[in-house]
Amino acid sequence: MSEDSKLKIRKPSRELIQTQQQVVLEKLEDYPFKSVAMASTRSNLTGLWRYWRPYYLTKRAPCDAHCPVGNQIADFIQALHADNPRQAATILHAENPLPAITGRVCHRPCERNCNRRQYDKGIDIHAVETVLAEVQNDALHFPPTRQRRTVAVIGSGPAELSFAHFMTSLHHQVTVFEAAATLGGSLREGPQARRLAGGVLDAAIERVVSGRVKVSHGDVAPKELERDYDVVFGNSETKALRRVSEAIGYGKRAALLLDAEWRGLDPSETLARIQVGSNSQILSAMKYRALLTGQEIKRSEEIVTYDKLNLEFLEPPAPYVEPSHIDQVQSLLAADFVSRDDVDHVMREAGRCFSCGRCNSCDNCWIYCPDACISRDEGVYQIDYDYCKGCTLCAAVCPRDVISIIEEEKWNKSS
Amino acid sequence: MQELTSIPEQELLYQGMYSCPGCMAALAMRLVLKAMGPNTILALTTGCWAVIDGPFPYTSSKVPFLHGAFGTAASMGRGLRASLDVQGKEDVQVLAWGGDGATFDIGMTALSAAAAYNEDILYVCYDNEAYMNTGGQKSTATLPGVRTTTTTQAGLAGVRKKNIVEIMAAHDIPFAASASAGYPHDLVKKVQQAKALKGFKFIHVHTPCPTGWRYPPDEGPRIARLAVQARIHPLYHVRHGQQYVIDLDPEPISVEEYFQTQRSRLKPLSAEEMAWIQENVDQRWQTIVARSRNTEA
Amino acid sequence: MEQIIMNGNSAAAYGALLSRVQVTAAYPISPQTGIVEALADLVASGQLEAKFIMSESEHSVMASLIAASEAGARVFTATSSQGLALMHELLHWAAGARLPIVMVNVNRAMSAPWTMFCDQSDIVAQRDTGWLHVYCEENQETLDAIIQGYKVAEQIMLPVLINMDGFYNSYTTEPVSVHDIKDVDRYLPPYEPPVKLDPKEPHTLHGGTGPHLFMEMRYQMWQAMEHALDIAREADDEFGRMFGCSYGLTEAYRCKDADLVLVSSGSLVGTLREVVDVYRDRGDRIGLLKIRYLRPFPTEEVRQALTSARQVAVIDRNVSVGMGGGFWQEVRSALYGSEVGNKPVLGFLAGIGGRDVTPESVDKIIQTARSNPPQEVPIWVELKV
Repeated sequence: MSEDSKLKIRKPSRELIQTQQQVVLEKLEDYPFKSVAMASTRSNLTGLWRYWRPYYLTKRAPCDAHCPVGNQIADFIQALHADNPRQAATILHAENPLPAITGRVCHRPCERNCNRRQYDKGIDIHAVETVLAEVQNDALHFPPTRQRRTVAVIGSGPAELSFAHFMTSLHHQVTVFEAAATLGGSLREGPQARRLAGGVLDAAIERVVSGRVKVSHGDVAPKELERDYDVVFGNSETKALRRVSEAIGYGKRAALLLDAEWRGLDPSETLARIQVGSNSQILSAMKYRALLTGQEIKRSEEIVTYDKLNLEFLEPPAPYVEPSHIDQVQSLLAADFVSRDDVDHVMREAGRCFSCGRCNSCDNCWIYCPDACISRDEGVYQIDYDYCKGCTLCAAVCPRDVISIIEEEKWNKSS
Repeated sequence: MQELTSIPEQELLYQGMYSCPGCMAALAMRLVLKAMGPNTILALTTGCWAVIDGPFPYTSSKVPFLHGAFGTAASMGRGLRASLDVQGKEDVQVLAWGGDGATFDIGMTALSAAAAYNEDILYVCYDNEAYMNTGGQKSTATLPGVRTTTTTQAGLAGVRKKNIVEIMAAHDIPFAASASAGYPHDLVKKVQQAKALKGFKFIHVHTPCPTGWRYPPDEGPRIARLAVQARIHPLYHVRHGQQYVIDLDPEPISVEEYFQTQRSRLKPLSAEEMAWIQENVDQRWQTIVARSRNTEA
Repeated sequence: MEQIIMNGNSAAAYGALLSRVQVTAAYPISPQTGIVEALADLVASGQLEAKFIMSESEHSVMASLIAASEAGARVFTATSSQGLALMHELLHWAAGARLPIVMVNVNRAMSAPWTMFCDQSDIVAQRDTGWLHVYCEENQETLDAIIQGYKVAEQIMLPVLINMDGFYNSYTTEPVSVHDIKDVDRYLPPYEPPVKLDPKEPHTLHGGTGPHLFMEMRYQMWQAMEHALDIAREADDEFGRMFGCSYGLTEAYRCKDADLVLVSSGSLVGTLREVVDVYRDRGDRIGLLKIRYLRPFPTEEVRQALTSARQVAVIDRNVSVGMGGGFWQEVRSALYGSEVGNKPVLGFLAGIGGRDVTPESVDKIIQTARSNPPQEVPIWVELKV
């Protein structure tokens, strides 16, 4: 028998074809001698089957949405839970210049609206805030302004201090005029003063003004100030704000909106871009900075209410807190206003936070996707839309409503 | 469940597989392969997964897959084991994979033999409670009272669901377990436990089917969990036919409540018929509880 | 090389031993049980370094061997009638999967009526499965056919069924030469599959094949079977050179100038040889064509052997009810349209269900043939009614 006529049993290729192209068999030599697979199913674009499209969209936790200061509570709690205390403190201090104070005296609308309250016990958010208030952090930097103004602040209560802080951060020249010998205003009076005793209040105020704001004690004439300064802040309205957190929020709001006006930004658009939740009184400094730097923050202000959570798929809490993680937080404490026990408690609480609307890398979507269409890299999850069939099982197992669903055709129309 | 087993990283399936959207059998395979690792050969018998893998010349598997005739998963498993061992490859894992039809029915004799001979393989049965690949005809894994294409008339159709874990436990194999695609960590843990044992291991994985059970594709995990709550598919394992351990004991719900999630799947039943089903489910659960207490004692 | 007195079952077991089979699975069925028991002993004693799977049914036997072969081992088994039928779907599978499995079938009639005696209807019913079919006359031939079987199978990647007759071969003792295994090693190297299941080089085998591809896959089997004729001849020639015994795809015994040629297979051929010699001594020109390979069918050789015959009488130990004996159908089909096609080819049904076919029975067949009976229907031999 000649070589040509000998039967050829061709060894199949060692590697599977993995492109998205179909296998084409034309000549008999192209065929494997037995039915051995030659390519992966990656040429089967199951994404074409899709009617519903799931997508990741960070939403607003109810604690954030009810915080008068505009704290990004879910964000800083998750940063702490992810063993990133410095980042957590940075997020807190970015929005709230006086967290040591609010942690101790705020009326806690965040806790009242915490979703976990309907499950077993709400999170001790104020305790987290109190600890993070003492943790070293990075300041929030706003881009420079050509519209540097001179700012006079009459009084040094929470609203005034807040206003002064943000104006300074926004690169304006601020002078605080306080009639009394010490700064603090209403914070020095009443029951809240007792809670801020032991140097807490002094330290908090010091952090805001020291090296940043000029302070002038003694009486002032408002009319003169109006003549000498571009803007004067502080009046009976601010003094009428009884709740500390509302006062801080008020001062912040005034500062951000004024700065926006000076930069020539459209006021109503700015408001829409930087508000938190559905309340236009509550603004986010981080969102304002993003607006100024042109950074796109993909986040919805849709509030995640309890009914939107899929708690049957909630991951169980960690059985204990690693001592090394407590050590890490302790190493960053600037003062000793909080104890190791406080830190331990707060880290446990961070582990109980549902992280409503905000991905905390629980991995459920990745675990449950029947088609291996979800990948993640450094906490960023991605859906492979070439293959996602739109079963939306991922959304159903996300405990915290991070995955939204839209008709594929609507998505295509809008993009 | 206390601390959750971590799910291994490596994906051993390619995307583009031919499963229906929301297929829990696809999820089960993905999880089991992760737990088994790449040093595995899989013997796959006719059923949904024979199609899900993709038509020749395509495949969705990164590990060797052997498609075989109906009812041969266990016998193929025996053949693979013998072949690998005689070539000195005792470290290669053998995974036999069959649906409820292939396992409870047409492949039962081969399965029993493999168990009786204590072959060093893992057999995983993915159970969608009917012959789904051929359109959804009744199998002996179908619950009484369920509507299938061959049980459309009213009535229970008499037959109870075979208690496959007990049948396997009666072979005194090292490990017989029930698991659910709705509890991925438990499933992965059980596969890893099985992998570490020598001898015949059997895992019965509950895999709800959106197409066959007529529920929206995203509800698979929830329905799977409700089945465990309803004690229709309790999560437990048995070692050597003697030691019974209950893996999860969630707040129970009634069978009737469970079927609320799949309205059109259950035929209209009388109160007596529903009570009969409930009694059956309760009896089996009580048996497991009693045996687990004996084990503890 | 050792000469040992042994029965056909033992010869089969020795064939497997010398072929260094690595995995065997089996289920006992009379008259094959001797093979299973011999293999179990050989494995247990370590003489045969193989794994023995005790299957619970023949269907599982073949399923296990398919898997074992796909994973790269040389595999072997033996069965009979009901067992062969029970694995029928998997015979198709093994061939379509292009696996070089060698199986011995100890021919036994298909029940009902329930029986365990010799008859070829079990194997003839498996002609369409894609396996090569070899029919052995004697125990030596069985042992040799197994070794040759692997040599052929592993070149064309198709499985081989080797038949011996139940009781007449399986339980009849004869002297058999057991070759030196080192010689066999030189003839039959270790099995190296072109593809196998191995996690180091993962492959998926036998996913669903659509109409747009199936015919080409079948066509490749067809081509392999076409090549099988040459490859089988070469393997047999080489075997003859090395071991002094070759058998051919057919054996034409005293056919050159034969007037009537008897065509048959299996142990019956032994009886026919004796009868042919007796007739030839008397001057009566009878010839014998032994068909060894039924698949692939050796058309050219059959035509050549039957060139000079005025008449052909095919003796089948099997019947396809409604048509006739399998070999009769095959021979008539092979002759059709050829230059040697226009001669009567008679079909005789003898020995069905294990009834003895004696030299006297053959006399009757020859007489009947010479009475020029109608060709279209088969003739039942020695019915008691």
